[in-house]
Amino acid sequence: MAQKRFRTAAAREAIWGYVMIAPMFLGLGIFFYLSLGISFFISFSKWDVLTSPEWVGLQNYIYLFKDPVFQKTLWNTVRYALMVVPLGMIVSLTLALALNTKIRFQKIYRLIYFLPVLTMPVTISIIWKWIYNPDFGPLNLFLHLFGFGRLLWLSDVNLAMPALVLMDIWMGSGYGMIIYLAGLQNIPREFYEAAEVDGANYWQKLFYITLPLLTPTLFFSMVTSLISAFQVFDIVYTMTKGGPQESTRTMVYTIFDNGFHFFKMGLASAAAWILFAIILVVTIIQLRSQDKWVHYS
Amino acid sequence: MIKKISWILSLLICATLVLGACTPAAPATNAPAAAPTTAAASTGPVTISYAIWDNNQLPAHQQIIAAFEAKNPNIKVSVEVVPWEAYWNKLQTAVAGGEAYDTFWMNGPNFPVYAAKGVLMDLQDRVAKDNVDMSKYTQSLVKLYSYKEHVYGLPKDFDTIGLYYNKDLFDKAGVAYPTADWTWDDLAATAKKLSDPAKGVWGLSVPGDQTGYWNFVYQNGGEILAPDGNSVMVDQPAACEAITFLYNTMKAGSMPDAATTASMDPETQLFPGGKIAMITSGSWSARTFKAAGFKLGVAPLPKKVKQASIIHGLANVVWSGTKHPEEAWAFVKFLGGEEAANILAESGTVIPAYQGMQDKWLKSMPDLDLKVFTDALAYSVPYPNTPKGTEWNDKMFAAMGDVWLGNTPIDQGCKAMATAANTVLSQP
Amino acid sequence: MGTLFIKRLNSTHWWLHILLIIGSITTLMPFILMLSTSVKTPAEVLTTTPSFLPKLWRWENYVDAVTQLPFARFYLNTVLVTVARVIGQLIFASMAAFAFARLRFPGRNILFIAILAVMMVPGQVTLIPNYIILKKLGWLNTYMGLIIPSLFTAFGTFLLRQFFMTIPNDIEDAAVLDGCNPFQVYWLVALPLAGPALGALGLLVTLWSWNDFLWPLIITSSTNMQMLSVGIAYFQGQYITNYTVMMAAATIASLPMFIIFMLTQKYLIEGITMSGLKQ
Repeated sequence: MAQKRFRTAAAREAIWGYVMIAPMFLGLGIFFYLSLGISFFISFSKWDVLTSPEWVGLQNYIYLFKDPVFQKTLWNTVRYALMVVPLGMIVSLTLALALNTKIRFQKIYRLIYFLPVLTMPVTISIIWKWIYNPDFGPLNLFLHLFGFGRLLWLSDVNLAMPALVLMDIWMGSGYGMIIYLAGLQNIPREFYEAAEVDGANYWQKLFYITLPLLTPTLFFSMVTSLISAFQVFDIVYTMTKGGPQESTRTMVYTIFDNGFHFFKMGLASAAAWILFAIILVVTIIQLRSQDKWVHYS
Repeated sequence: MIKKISWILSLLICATLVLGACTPAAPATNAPAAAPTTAAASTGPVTISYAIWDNNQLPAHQQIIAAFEAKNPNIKVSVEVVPWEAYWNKLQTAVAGGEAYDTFWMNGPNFPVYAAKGVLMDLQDRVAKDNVDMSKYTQSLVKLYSYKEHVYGLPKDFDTIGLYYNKDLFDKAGVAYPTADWTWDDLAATAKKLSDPAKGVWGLSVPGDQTGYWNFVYQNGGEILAPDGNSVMVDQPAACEAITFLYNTMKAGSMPDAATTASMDPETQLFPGGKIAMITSGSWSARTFKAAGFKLGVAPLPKKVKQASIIHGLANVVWSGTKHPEEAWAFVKFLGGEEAANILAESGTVIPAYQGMQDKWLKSMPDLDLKVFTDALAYSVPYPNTPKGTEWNDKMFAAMGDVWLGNTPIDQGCKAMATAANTVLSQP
Repeated sequence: MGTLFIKRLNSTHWWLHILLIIGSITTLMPFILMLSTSVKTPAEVLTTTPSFLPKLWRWENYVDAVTQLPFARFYLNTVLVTVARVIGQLIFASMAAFAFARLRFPGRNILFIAILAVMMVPGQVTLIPNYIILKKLGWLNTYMGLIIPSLFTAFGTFLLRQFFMTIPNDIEDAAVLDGCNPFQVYWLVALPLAGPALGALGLLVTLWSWNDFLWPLIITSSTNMQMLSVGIAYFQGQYITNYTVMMAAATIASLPMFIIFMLTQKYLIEGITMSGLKQ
């Protein structure tokens, strides 16, 4: 008798589960999965967008895997993600921690660090191009004091990507700050009060309470930052256009170029699916690792 | 809490109702060419859509449309400004979706692709039937918008390249202004005299391809694209000499180097900021440069073997899939006519392609010798393009960038540029 | 409480202030440039080094911005679309997030990965198929087309799922014992607890929607359906950009974001705890 009740309860829970996710999947079904499926078929075609697609089988994929520029693009994208995600998380977290304490001007600082999110991208690119200017830019002028020469930054094959990483971190710190602030609010006061009674200092509270209880948010931030870092585009488009010598060419830049500039939407779709596969694998690995380090209640 | 949520819910419901009520109104009055029309019975007016990308020219075009609608009461034109950065995106998406504009602007680099793929309506027969006088437009423009000897677009405006210079910088250094019979040597020598790299001032800048090195290639008797459009000719001696000349001028300190121009644009920052004495740029820059505040002058580009200036211009085209071919053609024909050119000329925004209409533009900035640009028609070279699109040029320009940065030595530079372009052009 | 406050003031981490101020300067530069450009004359815009203080002030740029574009209409459209998107996203995402976080059903993990997959595909390759789908639905150039497709978010679902997973089990068990079905647990228990997360998500969605450019541009064809972001792009020509008026327009357009940011600060302030919940 108890067993029947249990089965019914579990079944009821499952039904509620499906009901509550249904609207989301219905909407995504029409406005995403359908388009995704179409793009899958296009990746096996040659399509110039203006005329009908033409089936070519695996040709696009084979071409991409053999193309040295594509291989470099793939590597650039991975390199970019590996640089920008950890550094970005540290910066945003530090910012959120700093602006969560009751320091004076807390609200003003929060607004100031939020500003990059509100500024027109064109102004941001003008300022950063000036910062990276080899002759007049404040960065080189500053480094000159320490004996550095005329660094070329955006025109230097080795420095262009780090330059973009720095700019990206700066631009994204506001978003990260908001998410971590929300996560920090979610930590019950009682834990801190109990720790203070035990005489814990700031660093102990940070490592034994804040960070562990922040892991759900950290996990979210890591997964989403990685996903969007793999898809970096705007900053490459406005600052370097993939140069110099393709050192900053990333996957989505290639996809955009091929799909909308060179009338090669089939190739672009194939590249997008390769990217999708990579991101999917990376994300699944992260999801699997959840149990090891993420503390949900 | 519940009260707050119910309040939000009712707001959402109200919003949805309002939107639902609003929605039917929008498409009926504004959707382009959505009205189902039968060819025979012309009951209500036919609406055709027209896309442009320059908001500055909108007032002039609204006037043109008003004049057209007055003469054609059965046709209504709905014009849409699509911001330049997304124009081609949107056009391609619309074509792919079968909802392209009936009429729209077309430019040189994109024209062969769209024509070759059958997106544009062949206007040749209609031009012949309606006796449209094609001699009224500059011939290089007619050629630019012809595919396989058929006309696909009616030229609207044109622009040529000239040499702008900062008279104040010339006066300060006591150097004579550029003249109409300057040669490359005059250019290089004067540029050297006006350069002071230590102070961050340079004598010359030749940015870009259409506004830059292409002109020099033609001035030396070279070509960019081979006549069949399947390969480039930048590694031929004539073209390569031109490229090397520019490279050496930069190396001599007379032009800003690649790292500088990457972070500060010559046309929008260095020249107006008074850091460059002479710059090659298009007729469209006259207004902006004038506003920069210093005394501005303009001269023809220097010659080597001959004079050359790249000419480009926009055209109005018709979508091949339009449901109203006659109305669309009538509008494009009107756009290419004298009355429309007159209205365009009055606005002073662009130089009309229609013969005899250039005067008003010339007079719009009297203290600047704008005649340089219209005189250039005599020795103009049409913008080089091919049905294979623009990828070859992107790759070639990137290869040139590497030469300028020193990553590729100059003696291999032309070859590298040619290889980059030809790899693309040789693909089917 | 009072002594705590004073203790905090005394140990005011002055070094923290120094670092924050240095960071603030770089952060403020582009914004100040935007503001100062909005009151410059065109001559002053074209300089080699950005000038943060105009020599000649031209307030007429703001008048130009408002008269050259149908600003009121753009504002109306943007507000309408954004409000609808925020409400819709919050509702659908929180429902789905609750299910993924607190309910058990077969295939839950796979379905969750399917949701995450939505974020993994660059928009460029789904743009044209989505356009065609919208055309078949007859939603081109309508508010429906602008709003409905954007109501479904993987980002929001993921974010809220993380928050819902931190709700202590005993709170949920208590509600279930009281006879609540899962939807009631979601509505009466989980949602109120997710204040900070909802606030953060609401803010982020508002920001995204306010600046959303390509999709609204592609599916609308008449000026009276356009959003602010598209309107600002009108000032950017092929060769010439009217920076001064464009910055004025951008400043006007971004004003509501300040207000919204200040409003959501309420949810992002320390003090909302879980044990303070009334049963």
